[in-house]
Amino acid sequence: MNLIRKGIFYYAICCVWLLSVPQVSHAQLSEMESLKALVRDIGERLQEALKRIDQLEKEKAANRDSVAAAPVVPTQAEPQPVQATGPAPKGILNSFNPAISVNGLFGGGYSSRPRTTRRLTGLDFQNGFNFQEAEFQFTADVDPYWKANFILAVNRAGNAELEEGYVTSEQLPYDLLPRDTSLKLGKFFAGFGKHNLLHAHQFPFIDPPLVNQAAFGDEGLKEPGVGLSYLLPTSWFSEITFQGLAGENDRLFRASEDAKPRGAYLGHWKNFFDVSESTTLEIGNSYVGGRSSYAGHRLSQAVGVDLTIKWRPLRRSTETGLIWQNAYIFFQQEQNRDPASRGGGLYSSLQYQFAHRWWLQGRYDLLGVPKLDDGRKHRWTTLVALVPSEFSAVRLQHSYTVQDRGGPVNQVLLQLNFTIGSHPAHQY
Amino acid sequence: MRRIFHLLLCLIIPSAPLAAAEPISVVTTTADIAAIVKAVGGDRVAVDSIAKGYQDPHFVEAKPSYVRIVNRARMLFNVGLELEVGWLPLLIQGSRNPSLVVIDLSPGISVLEKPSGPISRAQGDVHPLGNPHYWLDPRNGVIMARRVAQELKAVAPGETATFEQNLKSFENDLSARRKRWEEQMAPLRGTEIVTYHKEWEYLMRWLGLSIIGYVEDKPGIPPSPRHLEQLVQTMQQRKVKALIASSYTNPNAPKSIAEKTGTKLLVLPTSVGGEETIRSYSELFDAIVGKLVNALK
Repeated sequence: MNLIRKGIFYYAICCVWLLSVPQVSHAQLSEMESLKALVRDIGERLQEALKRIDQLEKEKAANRDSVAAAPVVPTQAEPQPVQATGPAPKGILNSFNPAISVNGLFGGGYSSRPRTTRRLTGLDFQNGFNFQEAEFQFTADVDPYWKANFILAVNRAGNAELEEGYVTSEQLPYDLLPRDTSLKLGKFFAGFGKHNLLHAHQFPFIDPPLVNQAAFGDEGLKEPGVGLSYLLPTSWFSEITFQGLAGENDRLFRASEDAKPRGAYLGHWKNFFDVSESTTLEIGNSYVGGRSSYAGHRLSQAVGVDLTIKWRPLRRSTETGLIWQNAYIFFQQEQNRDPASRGGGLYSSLQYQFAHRWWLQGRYDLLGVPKLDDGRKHRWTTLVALVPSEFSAVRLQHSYTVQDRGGPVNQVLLQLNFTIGSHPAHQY
Repeated sequence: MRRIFHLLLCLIIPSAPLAAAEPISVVTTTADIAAIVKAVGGDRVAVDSIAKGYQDPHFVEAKPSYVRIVNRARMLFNVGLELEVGWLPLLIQGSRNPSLVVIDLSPGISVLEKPSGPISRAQGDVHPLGNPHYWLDPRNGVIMARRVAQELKAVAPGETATFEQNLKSFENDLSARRKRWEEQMAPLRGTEIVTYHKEWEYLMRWLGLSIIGYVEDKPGIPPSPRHLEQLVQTMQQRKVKALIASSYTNPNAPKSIAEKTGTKLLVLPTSVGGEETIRSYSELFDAIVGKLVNALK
């Protein structure tokens, strides 16, 4: 603004100087008169312009005073006008790439009965150190309607398997998907209970609960299928899920990989309550059933109930917390024998965070309620975890198992669990 | 037949104004944004905040009950700059609410500490888009309020006059108070302080206090003993007057440092609701400035 003012001022000086040079002839004098009139006109216009500049400067100063920097500490740039733009742009190519992360599970252990430990834990266990698993995860929006998620697991032998690969949607063209509903398509961990939804790096303990393993096998219940979940119009969180599955699980449905899957269906009802600001209660009910590929194609099924209480004070949310989780599963596996293998089991686990980086945990497993063909198993597990950050944890676990058939088993497991890359946040 | 028609008319006519008077359902990620939305929206909005003012906004759990709140909301305002990256995407996706209008309030803010070189998690919980604690400068509060007003007007154009009037009152009130806060703090300009976490940059730049060190040597990572030893030495040499921590910080390490160095430990609220008496955006700065003046004078 000052620059403009100076320009106008010097221009006016030049005009006045030029016109004030002494003149000699009459013709020149009359011309001089008209030029003087012109200068007067310019002068008036100049005064008006200067007044306008003063006014604008005052307005700007008033505006700055109402919003902008403090007079004594002008350390920050003036607030910018509101722009309807998103976060700072990255490279276009990077923006469209999937978020990629890798979870590594490296461990070691000792068992008094290594073969039994392999059977009990579902881990590819051997005494000594071993690489447990690596999970590669890719997530991205496909378009405004679909979000894709792929998880590739590589085991100790280097064999890769597509653990999950699915898309989800909350909105489809032509409003094909009703409000409050979400759709899931692909291969995924079926929505049975709490534990079955977890990948190995998310397990609260190094190994899965005995009952999950007995009901669905070492890999859990993961199936190609389609699922719909719906938020019920209640004053608390209540969600009902239906999934149509291929029926490939070898414990419940299929004799071998060559056997034709005959389809299965799953229902899950989850209710969640805020008991207080710090405490929540979650209750879930699950059912899965489908025709077995064994002769007779009879119904194989499992039913479960889970209850979880979490406590985490908001003022110290990174310092302390408690999770008490309980689940019971009854299953009926129609296999190539009569009567079918029926049984059930439960677990109850407690996870206590007693400092920013430390967790102490315990779990009790009971398999054989009602009794299975090979009787009952009881397992007591304790775990201590050092968690340097949310991206790594070192966990030491001891388990003691007593079984009706076979002697007791003592096992100690050590695990380093780490994540690199852009890993999506875990569900509550 | 006519009676039935009149009866229906009586039922329909009173319901129209009631429907029109229904406030806009808004959910915000933090209590500060909720306070600003309430100030601008007045009784034309019904606001819920996910994070409480006494809670660390980096580490909010994505409870299903929050999913329910987002499911019922029409608008969602968030801080952005990846402050809520650990929990907000889960709430939005779980809400199954495709008509939700999501507004990131960070555009328009002069963001501090944008990384200029490569970053990695070896540096701790660094924010790749810059320091997200920008609401701790009232000048940014005005920018946020203007954006809130702009978005509310877009959703409810019939209420434009109300929102503009409320915005003007908010700006005038904040401007008057800001002058007072700056006058109160003017004698303390240049005072050297140490803070626990990198969340006070906007506040201190506004007030002219100089942060010479942090208890956390890497953001979000508990400090190492060697770093604490060096920090104590520095604080003793430079006679640092105050160590500032937020109300949700574990007080053990700051207390220990304050005792060793003879420095005053000052626990400040970072958000509206951080203390029971702080119910509005301007009351947040009333409390912060009051405590700073008392501690540093």
